[in-house]
Amino acid sequence: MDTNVGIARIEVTAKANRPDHLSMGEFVELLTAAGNQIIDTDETADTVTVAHTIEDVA
Amino acid sequence: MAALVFTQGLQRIADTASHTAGYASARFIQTMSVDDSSTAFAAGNTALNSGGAVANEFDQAFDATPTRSGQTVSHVMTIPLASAIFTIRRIALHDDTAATVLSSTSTIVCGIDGQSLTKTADFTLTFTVTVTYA
Repeated sequence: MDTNVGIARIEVTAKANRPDHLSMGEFVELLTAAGNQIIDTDETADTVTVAHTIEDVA
Repeated sequence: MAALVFTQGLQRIADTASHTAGYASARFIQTMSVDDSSTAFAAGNTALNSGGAVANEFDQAFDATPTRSGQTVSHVMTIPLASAIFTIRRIALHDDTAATVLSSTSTIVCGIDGQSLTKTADFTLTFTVTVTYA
């Protein structure tokens, strides 16, 4: 019998949006200098992923 | 680090889904907050400051109506350039308007702690929080 009903997972993604006056390289440097971990860059969307956490609900 | 739905949040979801006596049409998940507290969330928390004072907090309504795909609901909020200039350690969803939400209001539904993101005024930052019902 299946009984599992509830909230199983919360996922958080944070994407920094590149300002027009910075190149992607410059933006990554800025984010890194500020202390952020670079997880992914998306040249097409002009975003840099700085957090991606998938957690099963405790 | 933990992701959890607060007991209060489970009650809100139940009230809303079943239109119990506790149901209120204005109380639904509609605001996202970030703050710089290092205190871990606990199931019995009712406000962001339940575990201790919160020095810096920012909250705002979602960018658009949340979307659902299958059993997963996505909530998106973009922090403007000049806002949330601090180290973001916790993210939470709230069941009241951004105008009402404070670190002390009993509005938290679910959250995730243990993050470390530094926001500056040089860029906007878009958070996507997905909640999977299974």
